[in-house]
Amino acid sequence: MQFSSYSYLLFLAAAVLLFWALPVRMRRVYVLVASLLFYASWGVSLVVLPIVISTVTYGCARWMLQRPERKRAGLVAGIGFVLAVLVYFKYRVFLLSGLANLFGWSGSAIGGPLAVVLPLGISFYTFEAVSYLLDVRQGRVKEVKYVDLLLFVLFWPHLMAGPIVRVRELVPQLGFQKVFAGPMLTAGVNRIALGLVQKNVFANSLGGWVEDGFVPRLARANSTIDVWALAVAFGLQIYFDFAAYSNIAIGSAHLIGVTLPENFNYPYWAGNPSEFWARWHMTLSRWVRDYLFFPVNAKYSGRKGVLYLSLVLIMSAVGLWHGAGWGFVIWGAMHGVYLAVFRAYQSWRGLDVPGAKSGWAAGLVVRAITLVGVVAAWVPFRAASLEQTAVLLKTMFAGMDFRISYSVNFYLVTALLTLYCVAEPWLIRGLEGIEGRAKGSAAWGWGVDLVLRPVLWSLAVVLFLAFDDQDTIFIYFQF
Amino acid sequence: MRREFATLGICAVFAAVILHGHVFGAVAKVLTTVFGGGDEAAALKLYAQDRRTQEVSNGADPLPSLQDVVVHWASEKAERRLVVMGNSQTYAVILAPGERDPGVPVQTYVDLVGSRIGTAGKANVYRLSAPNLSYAEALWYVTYLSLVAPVKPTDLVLQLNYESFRKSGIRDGMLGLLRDPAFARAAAETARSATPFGAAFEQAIKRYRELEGKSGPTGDAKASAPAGFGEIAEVAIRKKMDAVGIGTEKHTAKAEFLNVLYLLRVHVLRITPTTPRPLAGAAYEGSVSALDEVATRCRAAGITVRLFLAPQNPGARMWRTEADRDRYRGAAQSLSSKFGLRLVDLENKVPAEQWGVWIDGPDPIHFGLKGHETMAAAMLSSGLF
Repeated sequence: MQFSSYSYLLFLAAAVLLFWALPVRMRRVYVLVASLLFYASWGVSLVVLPIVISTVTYGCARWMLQRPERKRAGLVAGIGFVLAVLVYFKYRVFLLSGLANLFGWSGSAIGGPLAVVLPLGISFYTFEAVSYLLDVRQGRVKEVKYVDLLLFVLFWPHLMAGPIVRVRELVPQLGFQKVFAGPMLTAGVNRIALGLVQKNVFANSLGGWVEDGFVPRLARANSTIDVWALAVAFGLQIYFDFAAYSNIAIGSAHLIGVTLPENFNYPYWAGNPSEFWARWHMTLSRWVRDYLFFPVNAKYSGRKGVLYLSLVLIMSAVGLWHGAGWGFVIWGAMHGVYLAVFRAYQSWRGLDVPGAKSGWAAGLVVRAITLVGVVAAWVPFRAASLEQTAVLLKTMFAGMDFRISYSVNFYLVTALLTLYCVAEPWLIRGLEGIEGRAKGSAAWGWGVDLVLRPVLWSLAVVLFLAFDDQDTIFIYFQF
Repeated sequence: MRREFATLGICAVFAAVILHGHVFGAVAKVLTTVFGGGDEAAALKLYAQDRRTQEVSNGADPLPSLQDVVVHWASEKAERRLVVMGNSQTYAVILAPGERDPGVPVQTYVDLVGSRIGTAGKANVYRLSAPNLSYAEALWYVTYLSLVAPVKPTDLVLQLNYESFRKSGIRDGMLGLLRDPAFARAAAETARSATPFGAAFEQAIKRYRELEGKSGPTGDAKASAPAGFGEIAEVAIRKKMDAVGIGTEKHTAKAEFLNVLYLLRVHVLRITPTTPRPLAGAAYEGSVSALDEVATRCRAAGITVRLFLAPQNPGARMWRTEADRDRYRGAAQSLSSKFGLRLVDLENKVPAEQWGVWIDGPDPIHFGLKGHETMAAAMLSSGLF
């Protein structure tokens, strides 16, 4: 059941109704069963792996709490197991192919069937398990409960593609003690409606063109404008696609009184690379920051060269986490280089960093520079090969062909959605302003609840229905 | 809390009103009234239809039509079976100034040519066209006709059109040909070739799998993941929605919404059907390679290919620069020379006053009733048949 499918929306409606009808003491088990049912809807056998990972994580975590002197061993064993599972399912082919290329082995020498089914969401729930173990190690988790851990990993709104939550954020909410209130419904439906439009109308409308434009065999035929438009279009597609998923996840959780952390904060408005990562896939960024970068930073705080190198290596690993391919690694490495250069600039100038708070003109310039870097980095992320990446990046930065090759509608839709991205903060703030005013005035309140909101929701529903012919999976489901 | 549920209820009513009340269609009418534009009545709706001589779905679902015509060819045993392939110019009429809807089913130029040749000799003319036909789609059809059809055509008369060189990809409607196992095998083989048209075939097969719900949950999983019960439920829900008419309503809503966007493009941005377009890049390269393969496959199957340059409206040239026009004509000439194909230039055969008038003025693609007669005469005298 994709979040943007009718089956999911029916499942959600039924799950939410039943949730609020049940007594509080039964809700934990109910949500766990609903989560397993949701995941099993893709294939019943899929549920085995997250349960095994959760069980091993539970065992290691208990051991770490019971034997504090062996915490490190428990941590290494737990993380080692989880990462081994991840590597087996996600990186086996990549690693073995790399070794085969390096040593000139034939395909048969690799042995075994290479095409292992990649379990959905494995990158996300393994990260959750790792963060649970790290929190136990660092003393943030004092007590380990099996059902809590299962719910933490399997909770259906965030199971497949995040947001990547922290133990302290989710576990205290898993008592499901809240009493149903109208604003939960409003907040949930608001987010779900926005997500459905972002996915079906915005992301999917660009998807077809992006797919056509990134065909490797046509890479050399694209003009400079074509490649820039394609890279921007993909940047918009992946943003709307992932923001849609996150909005529906957050909205679904709202409907049963659970608050999940935000994942996006207008990322293309970022004024520097550091700010971009504070706005893009925010829950992954803070995971990487807290569990990877801060420990490295603490260890090598006096050695700038090592820190810059660690930034590039860590971001390359983040790229690899997205997918088993060199294109993802290059995407991560490019962002690592951007971050390292930015840190070096900060260190050199010792000034306030250029960013969103800079003056109007300076802000525009730094945003434009950041955007160019971010858009260029989408090319290796989306391209099918390193050769295609090289051709497209060369065309972008060294090409002088300014003709357009595709339907004018492609460029127009890309421009329109770019404009939407520019205006998005004001649009959302405007709507929030109206809602705020509605709280203080009965007339405004009625107007918002009985006119404005129904109009927006009904438009969202109709557009979702009208554009549901593209049965396209969420991009981040593949990671 | 009551108010939140009232909001949901009103939302449901509004959504039903937007869907059933064709609100987007009404907005389109308002835009046309405010900005002015072509008279919708100028686009004729009533055409002579004959499944023996036309692919009547115009690319929306061609497999049944093609299966029918092959049976017809087998029973007729005509000496020549000619397929005419092109874009909507071959089957649509937009009335020219002074023309009136005759109120009876009209014949377009391919019908007129077909009926004259059919009565004069033992030939069967079949129109296999689609709006905005791309040459990847032409190759899609030729793959069926040359490799799969039990009775093959003897001749292919292919329209070359500036606008068609700018098109790429294969539309959803044509993907239905993949239901024929022999065609699916041939298409898969083409998709594996390292060519631009191979990429178009590959995309088409992928899209077909998506639409048929045959793809697994992830790219890596496609080969081995069984359909989960979520997918089975989704298919059942969609079928139910289609059964109660929501499927049709939502398709209409989408078409009307896209029409609103189109009218805004035309009237606000002034990017109209007659705005000249450049010819370059991936779509052009893909078209050239697809045409090359059309000629290669037809030659291998013993099908004679003839080409003609489609008429251009003297009042609405499509090329942005003369270089674009040269590129288009050069590609046609090069294809003709490479394979020794007859190429007939009909670019200026239909005079300006015989073209339709649409939205912003002269229609760049379609002619009126008289234009179709002129075109039929030009084709008959050109030696194409």
